[in-house]
Amino acid sequence: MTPIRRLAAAVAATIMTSVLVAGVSPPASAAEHDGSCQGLELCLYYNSGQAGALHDFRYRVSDFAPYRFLGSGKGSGVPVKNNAASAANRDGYFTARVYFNSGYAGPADDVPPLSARNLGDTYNDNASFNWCHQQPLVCG
Amino acid sequence: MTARVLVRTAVLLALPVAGCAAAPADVAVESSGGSAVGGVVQARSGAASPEAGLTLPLDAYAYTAAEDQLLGQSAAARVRDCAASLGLDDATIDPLPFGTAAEAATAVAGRHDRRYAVADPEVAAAHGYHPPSTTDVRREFYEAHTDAELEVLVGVAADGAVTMRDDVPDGGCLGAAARAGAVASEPALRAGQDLVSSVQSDAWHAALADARVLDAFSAWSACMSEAGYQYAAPMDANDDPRWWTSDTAGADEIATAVADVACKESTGLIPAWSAAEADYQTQFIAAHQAELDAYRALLDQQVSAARTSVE
Repeated sequence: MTPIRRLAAAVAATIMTSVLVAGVSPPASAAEHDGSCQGLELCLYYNSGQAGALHDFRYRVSDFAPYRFLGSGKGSGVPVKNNAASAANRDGYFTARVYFNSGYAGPADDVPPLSARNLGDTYNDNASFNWCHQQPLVCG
Repeated sequence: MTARVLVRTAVLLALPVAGCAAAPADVAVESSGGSAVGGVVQARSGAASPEAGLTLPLDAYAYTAAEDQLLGQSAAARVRDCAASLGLDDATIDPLPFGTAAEAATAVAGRHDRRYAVADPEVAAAHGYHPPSTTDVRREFYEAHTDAELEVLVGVAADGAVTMRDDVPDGGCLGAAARAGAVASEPALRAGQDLVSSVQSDAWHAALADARVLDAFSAWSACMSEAGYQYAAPMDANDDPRWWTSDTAGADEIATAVADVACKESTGLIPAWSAAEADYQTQFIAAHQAELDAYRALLDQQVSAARTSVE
């Protein structure tokens, strides 16, 4: 993004803040960290094949340490960090990149838009995740 | 020498470049069929910007910066046409969820920059183990658009409610563009991505158990110990829980990261580690060569279709 585009985006984001709060912000039922995997979220699961307890994230996380798997499934209450086996990306346009180490470091597994997969490198070794443009694959 | 036996890996060197951040020098390393890595073949002090960083054999099974940018350009053009026909002008459409050519080039050149955690002395001095602050590209996209714009662009408002407009295609203009650009079989593409991911993972874990890498870790650990820091392996320093309770680095973290990068450089940690990984990747690629070639052909199909669409 050029500086001008970035500035325009920043200005737009500022102007839209009230809209965000009033209209774009998800209703309570679609909140992140509620143990329900919904649209626009990255969901990490305790077991392979999107099974067991899960945790749903809407925004990137530089370290999973504060989070635990939610709900009543297997793994509920276990820390998310280094314990996820699979993931589902419920965003239609952004790739979620799950990293082996904290702060978006180490090798990573990509979860393309609207897809689900078992984790590879980061199987039980997931420390952080970021959102990326799918094309070109550019992460923030 | 074929491309297959030329495994290019890189050594991060702090070059005394006046007025510039320490530039990573790209060093090609010759590998013979996945066995021992030979000597340094060539060093390049690039005038090209962005500086080419570390490359690994599996990078051949991902889009290059130019290909990636072409795919984004093709999709963005489709989205603009579609949105214009639905009454959104260019100014309202931006930002779209596509990176620019410059961002694509930087991202591809730097795709392994943090593979072995912080490696650049200036980044360590400024940010410790934390990544330099960047934009959350997804948040930027959703927050920059009104509900009405999101209805046209993605077919739903940000709360997930599907649009009632019957003139908007399924998934909005972005959905329509994705379908128009998808020429290769989606299940085959996913299978290829999974294979690349598993080769990558196997090579990463094999390298972590390799004597060359373990020796390099020991040397790094001894160097850190001399500087007053006790860590068995580099990723233990990156993942020290003390760093990750805040969004920015404190003085202890920065001091540790600066010592870490100095020890990585003085012990040759990253060249040893990346060479071992490159060897295992080459070996595991060879074991799946036909499947990987077929996957690369799918990527090429996608690129050709995008090229045709922008011509």
